[in-house]
Amino acid sequence: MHSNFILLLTIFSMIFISCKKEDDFIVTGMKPIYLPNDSLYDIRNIDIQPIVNSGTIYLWQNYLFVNEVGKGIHVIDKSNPSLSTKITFIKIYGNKNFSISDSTLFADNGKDLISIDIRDMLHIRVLKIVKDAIKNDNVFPPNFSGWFECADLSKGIIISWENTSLTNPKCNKQ
Amino acid sequence: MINFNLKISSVFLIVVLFFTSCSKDSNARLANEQGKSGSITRFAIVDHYLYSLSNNEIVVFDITKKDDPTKINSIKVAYNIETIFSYIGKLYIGASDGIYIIDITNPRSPLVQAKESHQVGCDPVVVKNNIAYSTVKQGVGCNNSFVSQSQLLVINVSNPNNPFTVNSFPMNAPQGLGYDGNILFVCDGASGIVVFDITNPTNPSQIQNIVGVNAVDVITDNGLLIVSTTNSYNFYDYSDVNNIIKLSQIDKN
Repeated sequence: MHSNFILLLTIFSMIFISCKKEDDFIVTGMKPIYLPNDSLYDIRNIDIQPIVNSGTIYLWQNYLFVNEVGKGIHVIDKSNPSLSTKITFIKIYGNKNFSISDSTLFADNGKDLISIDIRDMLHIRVLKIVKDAIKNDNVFPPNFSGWFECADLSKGIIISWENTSLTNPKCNKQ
Repeated sequence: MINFNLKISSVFLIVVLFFTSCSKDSNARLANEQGKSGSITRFAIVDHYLYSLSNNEIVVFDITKKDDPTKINSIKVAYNIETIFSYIGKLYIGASDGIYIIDITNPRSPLVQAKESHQVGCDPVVVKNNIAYSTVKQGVGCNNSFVSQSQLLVINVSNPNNPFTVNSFPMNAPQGLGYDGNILFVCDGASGIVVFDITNPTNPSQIQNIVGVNAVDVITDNGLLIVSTTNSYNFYDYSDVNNIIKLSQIDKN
């Protein structure tokens, strides 16, 4: 009984493997990494973070703001430019763009506009989220041509793309 | 003649003083409260309005109430729009194949006025008076298109309906740029930051080159230059442009 089962399993595996070899199109390409929608609005100060994949820079009063693509904003105190130092990180998943007026930070998360009170830089406060106001959803992997897994925005916003092995991808960028 | 000039000057001074005093508590304060962006950005605030590039559109938000910004309009431009710069009643939008000039005389209803077309490439833009400065980078552009020659372009935008290129300078790998008065800083990738004198606006002359950095974007702030590089953030003192001093550096990672 036991050996029969193993035999069956082996046969099935062989069939499966052979099918896969003949029919599946396997290629290296890009796959979207999603942020589930429920973690999207966890916007707050967290400890200073390493600057890894940075974007937009912005100067306001004594602070330099540096976007960490898809993750939030580094805040650097430059009141003494000879000793500039990071003081906090504003966590905003999906963020790429922002601007400041009247002590209010306006930031995106790829789909919403968020206004944030920054009068107390170490204790920021979300004022309003204008949902689905902006679409910068990067459904195509940036600076890339080739096969990629098609984006499915119902899974959440795309925060990054990873290079991986894809089976039967349906999207291709020239 | 001298008297006449004096009179004009005094009238001018009075007018300026008048405007300064009466705008102190509303717009001027708001303007002072606004920050300054690098040139590679998709958000621009002008007075009580936020303009955001959103895929192929400009989305307009009324931000008069900070705790209740509202989306009031969206205007289709093109899918390849990349950067936005505001300057005196206009928005200048860098696309991968040119610059769109958008009139915001009616701030709630931006109007696409013209497009300056050039070879394809990523291209932030800044504007001073009637002259726009824009970079195009050789190699694979924003839309995987190929650019044959990296350049700094000088574009006459005095007639917003008919912008035209008046000068160009070969560069290595230019990206962000910014100016303060008559000094223009252009990030040129591994070639560092090229500093131009733009006293003659259509004919920039190179006066400095800050080397040893792979420069991406800049912000100028009254003698303080902030540069994002591929691996750090650097602060420089350029109050003496012939003797630019590095003040500090924050490394990535």
